[in-house]
Amino acid sequence: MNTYTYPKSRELFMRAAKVIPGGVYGHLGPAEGCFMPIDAYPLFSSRAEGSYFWDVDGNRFIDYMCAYGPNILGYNDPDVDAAVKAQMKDGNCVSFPTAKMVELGELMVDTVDMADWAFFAKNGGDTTMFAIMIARAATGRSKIVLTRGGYHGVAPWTQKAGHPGVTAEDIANNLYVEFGDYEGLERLFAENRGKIACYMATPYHHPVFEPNRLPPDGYWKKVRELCTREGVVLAIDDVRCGFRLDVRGSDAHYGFEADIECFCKALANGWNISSVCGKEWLKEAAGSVMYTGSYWLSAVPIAAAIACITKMRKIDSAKVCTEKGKKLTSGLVEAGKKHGYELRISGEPAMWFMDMANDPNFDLHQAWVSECVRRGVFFTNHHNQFINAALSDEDIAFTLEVADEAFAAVSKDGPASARKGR
Amino acid sequence: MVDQVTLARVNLFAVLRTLEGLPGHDEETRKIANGKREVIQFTVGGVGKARLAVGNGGIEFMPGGGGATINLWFPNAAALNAMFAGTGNPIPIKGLTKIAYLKGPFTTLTDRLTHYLRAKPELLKDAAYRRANAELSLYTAFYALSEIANNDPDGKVNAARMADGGILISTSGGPAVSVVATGGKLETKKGRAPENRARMVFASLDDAGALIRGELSAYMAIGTGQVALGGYTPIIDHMNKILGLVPRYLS
Repeated sequence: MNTYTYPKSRELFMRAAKVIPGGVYGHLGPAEGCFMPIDAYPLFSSRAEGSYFWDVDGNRFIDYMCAYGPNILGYNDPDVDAAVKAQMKDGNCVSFPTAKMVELGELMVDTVDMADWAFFAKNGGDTTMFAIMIARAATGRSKIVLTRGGYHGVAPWTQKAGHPGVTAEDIANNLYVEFGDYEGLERLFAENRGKIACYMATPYHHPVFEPNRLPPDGYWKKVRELCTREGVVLAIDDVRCGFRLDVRGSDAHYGFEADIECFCKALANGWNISSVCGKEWLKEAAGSVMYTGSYWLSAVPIAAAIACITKMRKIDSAKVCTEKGKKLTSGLVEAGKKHGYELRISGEPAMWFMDMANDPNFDLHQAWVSECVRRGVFFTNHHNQFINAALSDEDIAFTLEVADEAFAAVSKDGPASARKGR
Repeated sequence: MVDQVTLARVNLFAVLRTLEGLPGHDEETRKIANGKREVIQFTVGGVGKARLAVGNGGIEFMPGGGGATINLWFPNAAALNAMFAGTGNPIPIKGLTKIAYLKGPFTTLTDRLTHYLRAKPELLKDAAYRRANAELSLYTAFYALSEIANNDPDGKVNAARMADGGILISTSGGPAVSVVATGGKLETKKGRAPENRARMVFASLDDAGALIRGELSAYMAIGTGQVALGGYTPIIDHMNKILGLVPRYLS
């Protein structure tokens, strides 16, 4: 199997770096620790279709990052794109919203189990910030509880003390608890009784760099009861998991009901829209918060979301992604075993995390992932991966073939292959 | 915000320490280092002690107090920082007869160090100077990093998040240092440490120098491969947050 090189990506990166901070910034960029060694990875795509993207050098990849989640049905899904094209003819960003906004609101309330209302924005971070503001408006309290290592966007309050651009005041109202530690949460609530507006967490723990953790048995039921008892808003950040585990919302998937649920990523198959859903008792508070943006009610992404949700419900995309994820990950584990490696899978199959046993410094994992990428299977090192519904059995078979060859390459070269080009 | 105690520790345990490497690059320094041995002790109230032995063919930096031929006392961190900024003088409490040494050879040494650390564009055209600047700056920056991690308020919260283990910072065919975290405290060691779990490898010493001088963007350098990261990434991530604080103290 030929391995890829990326001269045009590198050339474009040099151009980008002259006029754009970092060349490519944020989670799609090379400085976030997911592309190691960097020479194994492309840096720019040229087009995408279904489960694939092609980089600017013409290399094809099966994309297991799915744009970090938005690609749920396959890139350029014909039903979503047809809805987009139709709406573009009618208009997009206008002085008033269209009837499509109301239609999407009704569809969200009908689709998401906990939803009595829906609100629309653009990014996941818009929704988590709004959730906190609603909780504070409704309770008159200031403090919020977050899980250690949980990710809720990039606003200053979501970041850590000592990080660039973050002041002590930005995070002064944050309290932290380990995900899944019910007793710790109960203790924190007792110590701050009457001061906590909101407990925000992801439905399961999916940090970078460490195995992902599902909620312990009974955890969410107990948390739900505790929040109700203490008058704390239970906000679920379903930005990453939303619709991938269950089209009814990930709280429904784990058998509880959130007060607020935040959605983005898979909501519109890559079109730019996010949503906050909430319970009736928080609707007035949500209305009272001044919260809006230039493009938040644009009609094209709303049309995309309607088409995407309709199709996700029709094909049961969550079930499809879960089944494909199980098939793929069991094959990857087998490929590792064949070469004497223990590939560990954690989290949910539709968006699994993987690392290697006996690899405390990640050298082996980084070497294997880089060998996969060089052969056209796009994984990243230390973030969870994603399945989309367009992934075919042939794609899975090709991936397993690549995984096998990548393990063989690592066996031959050892983790030193992670240092190629240095 | 610059914390005065942290700045004093950076001056004492990073900048002053860098004199150790100066004889390897500078003829004038070598002449002084080949002269009679003098041991200068710096005692700084609220900060600590360090000694610098000059002579017998080299310069040796020794953290902590001990025997000395010249004792310099600074009542507090600000007084030491004033001396490094050129706006204050130490109070000699031993070796009063050696003030001439302080004003002569020792001042020459610090002037030569300043010459190599405060690079000017015209000097950087010379390959030997560029190499000296890069190597000395690399050591200064990473020794400073540990002081900042252990003393600066922002540095401490980032260091507390670091798992135990070391990060190798190396340059292709050039010097290497290791930053080792233990219980949220950092220590910089010359060369490769057995505790290393991650690596930051510069493609060349020139790239390392350019990055430390602020001529090369760290984010761009990662994208181009001029800086290659690998291994246990979380500790690099936390260290980089502290590395971002270094210019505050060394500018």
